[in-house]
Amino acid sequence: MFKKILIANRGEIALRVMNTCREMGIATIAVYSDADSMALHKINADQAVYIGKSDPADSYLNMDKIIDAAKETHADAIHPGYGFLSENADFARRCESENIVFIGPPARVIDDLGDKTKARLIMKKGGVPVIPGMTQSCPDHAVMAKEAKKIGYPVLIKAAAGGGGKGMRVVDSETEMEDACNQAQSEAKAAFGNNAVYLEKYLKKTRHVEFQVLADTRGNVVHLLERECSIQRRHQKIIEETPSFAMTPELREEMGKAAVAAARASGYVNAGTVEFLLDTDGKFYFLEVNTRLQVEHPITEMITNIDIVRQQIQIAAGMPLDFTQNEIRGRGHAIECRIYGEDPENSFFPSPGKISYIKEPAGPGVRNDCGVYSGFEVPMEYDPIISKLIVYAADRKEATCRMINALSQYVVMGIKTPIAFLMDVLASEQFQEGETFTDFIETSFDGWKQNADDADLAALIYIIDEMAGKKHRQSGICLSKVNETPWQTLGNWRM
Amino acid sequence: MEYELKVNRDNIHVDVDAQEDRGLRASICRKIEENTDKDTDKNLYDVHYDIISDHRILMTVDENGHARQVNAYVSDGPEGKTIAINGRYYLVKDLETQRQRGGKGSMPDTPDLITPATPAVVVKIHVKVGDCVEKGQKIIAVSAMKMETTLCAPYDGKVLKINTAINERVAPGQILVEIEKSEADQADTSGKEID
Repeated sequence: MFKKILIANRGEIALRVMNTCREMGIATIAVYSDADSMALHKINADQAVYIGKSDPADSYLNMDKIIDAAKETHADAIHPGYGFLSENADFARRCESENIVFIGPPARVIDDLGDKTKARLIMKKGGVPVIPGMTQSCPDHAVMAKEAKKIGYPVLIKAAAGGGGKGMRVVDSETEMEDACNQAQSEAKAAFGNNAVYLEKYLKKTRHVEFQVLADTRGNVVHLLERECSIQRRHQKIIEETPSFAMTPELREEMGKAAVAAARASGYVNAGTVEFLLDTDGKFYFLEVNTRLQVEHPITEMITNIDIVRQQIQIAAGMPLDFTQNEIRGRGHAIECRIYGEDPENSFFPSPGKISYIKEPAGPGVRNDCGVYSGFEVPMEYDPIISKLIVYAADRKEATCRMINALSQYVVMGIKTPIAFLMDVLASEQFQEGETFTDFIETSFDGWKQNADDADLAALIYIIDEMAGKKHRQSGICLSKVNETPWQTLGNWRM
Repeated sequence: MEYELKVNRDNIHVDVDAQEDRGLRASICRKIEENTDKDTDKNLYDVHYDIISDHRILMTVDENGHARQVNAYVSDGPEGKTIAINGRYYLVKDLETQRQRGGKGSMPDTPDLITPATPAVVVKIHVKVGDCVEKGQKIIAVSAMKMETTLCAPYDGKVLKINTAINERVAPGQILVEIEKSEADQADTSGKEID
């Protein structure tokens, strides 16, 4: 087993990985940038190596610096977390050539699955259902229009190197095709340095359902059941749950088999996620494979009782999986809410800044994977995720109530967060009845504003804090001051 | 004592009397419309409070003889106090002290100025000094937390000055690009006086 693992990431996920390393008796090495010199992942690691300026290109995306840090500290392996270099085949290759184990799939697999058209082709050959459309990128809008006519409008133009909704366009009719094609190409070029786009059928009213897979180096592949992640804003998930409301044992078996087939078809090793769209008729289509630890992995850990990071490390160390598909059972229900530093009343606009106060929720079945603390300045250079609140309970109804209660006790001050928004989503009839489709927020929560039910109480608290709070706060400090005038001690007063 | 408070979007008037032993008696009403004296019915509150810590206040509210406990969290910020009650957040400002300070608040309302909404990094500058721009035209793009935002011209005009550069860190209130309003546009907005 490894003695030291360098974690090439920051924030909550770096801390998450560190926890398992510690439990396994493995020393942890953090890397950090200027903006993160006081970050929790830097503070908590056994060793921390400075790798450069705050701009990701100078630090968390800089392969040379991360490899140097690993060599300098004699790390046996690198865990890339999610984002940054986690799905970068060149980085995986580089680790290999430097004799450092990359905790993730082989570089070739990352390459193949990172190209969306190639991935579609692999899946099609492997017998995994894909969304009708092209298996090759296409630079010509006329060819696209021809294909669209064949599969029927509306269609979706997607970037071959894509992800995160960039370079994506829904096209409703032939007249829109040329413009949409050009826009998607230039957006893809700007986001990924590659303007290749392709076309597939646009499916309405779908759920995002994904399967966690684990594959060892001996050819054993299992899936750890599904996660439903339909509730998204800007094509990014904000609430995830398992099991999916739409799942039946038969469908789970069928989709699970497809996920395992997808992993086998691509020669997958380590932990990965096979994403599908599921329509209202129970038909499902391959979307993509994420070749990394997924943000929402904790909900799977809660219901299967399997530590996915531990599995990743064991697989990377060459150990076989120590359970078979039949031994994997899901118990109860888990929900995750992503707590981003953003303003739900203003199009989820980022809200960086100093966290003046944070109180994390606790209680039975409550887990908060958090990367910040009171007094920490949330940097503007990185992803705005500050924590993931996860709950586990006997069933969906109990889990929903547990999440609402946990959110109501979660206090984050100094930056904006979607806590109140998430509470309203969970309390909504649509959510409780499982009417969760990928357009959930646009159709049910567009232009959301927090209700003002407790505004009177807030006004009273303001006045109490003005009248008594200040005096109380100063009482401890003021003892040492002797030469005060009444004007300094009186505080705010009015007539 | 009387307070004129703004709680999120509501204007709230509070008439409060301090009672013995950390008690308050308050009557609260809110303005139905701006610039009118029409108020809602008064809500009466009888409360008792305890300061639990620097950020936490316990308030006991008397509701028809039943005492309801409210836990609130408070944090001071440049725009007022943020108060969290059961997962809901309220930004509370004292309109009177803000008036006394002579401003609308610490953060000026600046829809007509090219300034970022949050701290950010400049990623693109679409114009150069001397350019004539039209209302809505892209001027500058800034990035914060992986999200890019483009600031557009608030009116037709001419670029006078560019006060920043690519990769520079910028903050709200900082004017990134100065645009002189075109004469036609000025005539448009102050038309009556010119006539």
